[in-house]
Amino acid sequence: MILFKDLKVKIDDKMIINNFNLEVSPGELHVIMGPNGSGKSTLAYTIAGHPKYSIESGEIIYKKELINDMSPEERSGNGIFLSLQYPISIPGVKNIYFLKSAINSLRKFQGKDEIDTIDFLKLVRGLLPLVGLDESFLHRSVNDGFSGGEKKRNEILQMLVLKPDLSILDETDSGLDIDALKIIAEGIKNYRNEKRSFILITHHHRILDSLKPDRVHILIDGEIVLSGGAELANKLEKEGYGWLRKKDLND
Amino acid sequence: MINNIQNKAKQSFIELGYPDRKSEDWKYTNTDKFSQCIPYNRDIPFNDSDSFLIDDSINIIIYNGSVLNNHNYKIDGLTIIHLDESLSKESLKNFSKIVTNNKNGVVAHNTAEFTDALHISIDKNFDFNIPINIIEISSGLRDNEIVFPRIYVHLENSSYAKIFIRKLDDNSCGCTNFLSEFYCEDSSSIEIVYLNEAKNQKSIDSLYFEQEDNSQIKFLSTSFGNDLYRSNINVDINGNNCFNDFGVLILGDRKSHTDFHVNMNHNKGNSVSNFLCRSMLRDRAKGYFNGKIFVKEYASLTDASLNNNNLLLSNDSSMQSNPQLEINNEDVKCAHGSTTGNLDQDSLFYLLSRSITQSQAEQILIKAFANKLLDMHNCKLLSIDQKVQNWIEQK
Ligand SMILES: Nc1ncnc2c1ncn2[C@@H]1O[C@H](COP(=O)(O)OP(=O)(O)O)[C@@H](O)[C@H]1O
Ligand SMILES: [Mg+2]
Repeated sequence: MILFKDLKVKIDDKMIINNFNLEVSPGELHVIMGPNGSGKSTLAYTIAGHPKYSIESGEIIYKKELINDMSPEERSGNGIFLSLQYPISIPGVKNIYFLKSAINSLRKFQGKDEIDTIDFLKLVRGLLPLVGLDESFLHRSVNDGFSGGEKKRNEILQMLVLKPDLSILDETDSGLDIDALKIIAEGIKNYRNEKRSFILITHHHRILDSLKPDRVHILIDGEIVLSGGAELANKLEKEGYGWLRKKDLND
Repeated sequence: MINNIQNKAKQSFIELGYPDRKSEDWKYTNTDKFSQCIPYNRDIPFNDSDSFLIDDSINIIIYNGSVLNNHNYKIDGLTIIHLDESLSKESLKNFSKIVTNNKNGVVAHNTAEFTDALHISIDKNFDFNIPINIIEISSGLRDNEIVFPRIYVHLENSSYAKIFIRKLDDNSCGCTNFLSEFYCEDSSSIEIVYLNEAKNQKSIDSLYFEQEDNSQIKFLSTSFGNDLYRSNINVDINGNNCFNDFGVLILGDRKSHTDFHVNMNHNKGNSVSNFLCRSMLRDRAKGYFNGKIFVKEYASLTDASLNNNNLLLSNDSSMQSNPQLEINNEDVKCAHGSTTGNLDQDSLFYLLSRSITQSQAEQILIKAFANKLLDMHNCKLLSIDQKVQNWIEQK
């Protein structure tokens, strides 16, 4: 699905991602954990194509195509989705309008006609319970005045509407209470299949209990320092990252 | 009586003239054209009046400064007269209530030269729910002609009215010196939506508002890239517990010049005023905003805000913004602010990352910026929402 080769990423002249290598195959769910500031969100934004993050060297190959210079809207059109760690509020744009513009743009990209309004409403109404939001959220401005948890649910709603092949979920589980976490985890779980891939950035093993990741990677200073199975997440949450500092590992 | 007023105004116009750019308040707007124009006094018949009328409202057309409905009429709760020699002393007293003694050359010129005026009053305790739709149109004006439309609206105690004013130029140029006064008695409430579509004209508006106890004003002005547009908005809060909410939306394009000047005068306490001006400028459009909240020393518990946000959509557009406070009382809550910038890059990315194309994403964000004002005012009747959308899509 996606392959990173020796990726280096800079923000303003500061190198944030160093020699990042990873391959995620169709159907796999990979987890990235790491201390604050280690570059997890930078990686997520880079995959989605945020113009602030510039690729210094290396390659991102998605569905066998080099996408280093692909625009964000084209990446999205091709099935890449990023659930933001801090979703943006857009006062003055109704959520329903946002969702409809998104799905119609995607369909246009795919060479399909615009979705029928009734079908669209049916689709969205069917998805709302899966993320635990009620219909009033459709008629509010995008994320405006939403609580942290509601914003995250809204991100997952967008994922379910756009049906991406590769979903990058950046701390989508942070700041959720246990019930909300269950709902979101369930939503992701149901969305998983053998064709869809996930890169899940998290600090907590709890969401992994039900999601059964294929691999867990630890990112420190923009580099994967250790990879393993789900048990790694448990260890990290208990023991922190201290034992992993690059220096110690090298010794 | 009316001659008296006009003669006096002629005299003061001769003394004052139009303000020039040496005066601080007029340093950005050149008024030469207005001084050079000759008052329009031809008689071009107007045939196309029907196309501007709106159903289920009271339609009044002011055409090249004359009120077209050539009969005065009165329906329950509402009096509309146009001002000519038949004017009674009583209504004349009202008419000249706000600006007679104003030392302002622009106002003096209108007062000296207006040939007709629209006078609307709402009877006390009357909820006048039918929208009053005023179409102010200039047509066939020559480049060196000027017209002087004039409106006076009076709300008696505890009355309500909703007024739409649409200004059009029928593709003719020339100048307009427009004066309107809104007098709000105790506990009255008025909503005004003003739409200036006279793109080819040079116009100066003088809008005067006066509020007595417990009165409320909601006002929205929208303009679409006028050749030259200067608007002076003056609000005198002369009563306690008043409320007002003013919105100004400026859409500037080509080489348009839009200059808003606002004075929000809290002369008595316990009142709330909100003024928000938002501009979006593209091409080589220029915008200016000067606003001042003025709180008198005995106006305690005033709650006033004055904000100006500007979106520059091209490298050659520009905005000068200067919101100010002059507060002479400690016990008040006043806020003012100004921002000028481009579209927010993170919001833009968010939309792009949801498949939305660059141009559509930009349009969505520009519209969202305008929605802050449009959502606060009910302006469906003039299709302002659609007009703003069309402007954004450059239709
Ligand atoms: N937009 C930005 N501008 C400048 N520095 C940034 C920006 N985004 C992230 N950084 C810096 O990059 C580093 C990695 O940040 P980030 O990717 O957000 O880490 P994480 O998500 O792992 O907490 C941090 O040092 C952070 O300060
Ligand atoms: Mg992060």
